Amino acid sequence: MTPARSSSAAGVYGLGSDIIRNLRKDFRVEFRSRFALNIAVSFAAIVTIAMSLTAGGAPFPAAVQSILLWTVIFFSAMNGLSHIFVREEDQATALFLRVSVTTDSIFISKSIFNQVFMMILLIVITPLFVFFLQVNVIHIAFFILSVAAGGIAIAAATTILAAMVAKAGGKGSLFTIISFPVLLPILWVSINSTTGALRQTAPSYDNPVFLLAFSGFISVISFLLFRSVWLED
Amino acid sequence: MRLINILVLSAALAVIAAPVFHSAATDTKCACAFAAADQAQEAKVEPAPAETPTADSSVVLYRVMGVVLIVWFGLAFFLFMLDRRVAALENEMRQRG
Amino acid sequence: MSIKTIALKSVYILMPATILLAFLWAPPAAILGDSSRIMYFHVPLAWVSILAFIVSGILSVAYLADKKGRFHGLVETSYNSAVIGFVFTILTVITGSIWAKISWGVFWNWDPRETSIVIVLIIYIAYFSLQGALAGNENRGRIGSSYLVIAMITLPFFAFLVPRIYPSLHPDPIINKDRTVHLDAAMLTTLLVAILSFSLLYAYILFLMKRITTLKKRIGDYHAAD
Repeated sequence: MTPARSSSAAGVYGLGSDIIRNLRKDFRVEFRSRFALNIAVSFAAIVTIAMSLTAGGAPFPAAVQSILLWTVIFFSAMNGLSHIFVREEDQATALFLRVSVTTDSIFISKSIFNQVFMMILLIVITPLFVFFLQVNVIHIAFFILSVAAGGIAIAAATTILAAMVAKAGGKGSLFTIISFPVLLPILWVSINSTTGALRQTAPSYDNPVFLLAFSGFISVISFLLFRSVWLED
Repeated sequence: MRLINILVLSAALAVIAAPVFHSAATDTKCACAFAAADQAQEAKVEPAPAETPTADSSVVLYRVMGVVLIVWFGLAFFLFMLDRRVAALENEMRQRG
Repeated sequence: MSIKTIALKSVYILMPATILLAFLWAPPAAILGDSSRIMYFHVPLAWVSILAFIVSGILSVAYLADKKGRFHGLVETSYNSAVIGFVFTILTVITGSIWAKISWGVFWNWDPRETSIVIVLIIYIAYFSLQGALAGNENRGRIGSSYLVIAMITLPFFAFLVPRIYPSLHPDPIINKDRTVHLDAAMLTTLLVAILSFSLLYAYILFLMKRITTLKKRIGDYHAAD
């Protein structure tokens, strides 16, 4: 394995400053071109408008609305979330990153980046969707909580999968295929949760809690496994 | 070739995903109703196959058993030949050192 | 011949014995009739699918934990196990749908166990896609194993989720009460023999694949030495 620079000498402070440096670089690179974000957001907008247009303004039942919402979110996320690692391999900066920065700080900074990316995506998609598909949100706070929890879980689960896909050359829809089994429970619970927010009856907080617990769990597992995906012999 | 594989797989995934998502969002009540309807339907069907093992059904049984046995013997033959070839190769490797 | 070889090769005798027992000796179930005999193939196939999946996952974890490389061929065996498991899973789905068509009237209805077997199938498909895309990569084994571990740890969540959402039509222990079919001694014996012989078949194919992998590796070394 490549001897990565140990952060233990500098302690937590070193890890923290590494993370901040990585994040600053990632955001600067991303927002210089806004490539991934543009594609994901335009995709979401096109799909939402297409659905609204073809439905001809007829409102869907609550269950269908939340299925469509999560389908749009899922595929938009699949368009953008792998970009953070695929870019490093494409621009051949991965090797440099591997040697110069500790593995742990890379994983933490990339997952923070993905979380922020996902949040931006949700902030754009959800109002657009609510606006165009005449979604009647009854429990607004719960709706926002469910969407946010689902987004956090999706971003947490896909970070390490993005690293794997980048290693495989970032080929087309491979990311979608390998993410699907891992994201299935998340989508399932999220759909249930948002459907609850669209109904009159008081929603149960089990679903968002499950989503947050799941994202914490999968983040920890990914953190442990990231070393064997990222480092090379 | 590989790209085509991936495309086909994603199409399959989409097909599988749709009903899963659909049933995920429908209530437990709906699913229960579905199951209940199913069971009701079954209850209707139940008396039909009166289980009297006639000569005809036992002929079918033997036929099915014959097919299954033939499939197994085909598979067994294949496995056996494979085993022998691998063993021969292993011997060869051992002799060459 | 070692004991292992004898045990593995006994599948040649046990499997025909299973077929004969299943069709001739075991009595037909009360309501399901002769169609219930598919149970002696469906249940062992499902058992082996899950067994292969678990073996594959455990070997992946062992491979990732084994940093010094003390054990040989863990990834290869894990991959081989997944290949066998994939075939058995497809067979489970096929036999299951036939049985469902006969006893419930439909081929498919997203029953919890059907859902979980489909999820296992999707995980296998995703794993093979990833492995295919990683061909030629030196880290293929490690990335593939990590993926399998991540995909596997989501399964317990399904076990937690699925029963809350769907009621099961599947026989609860093996055949449920309200269908008033209980396994009598002959049926149970047949089922156990069937499970044993299918597990042996799995082990036999797995060891055969392992021997082929070893041969391949040695031929590779042989050419590298030239």
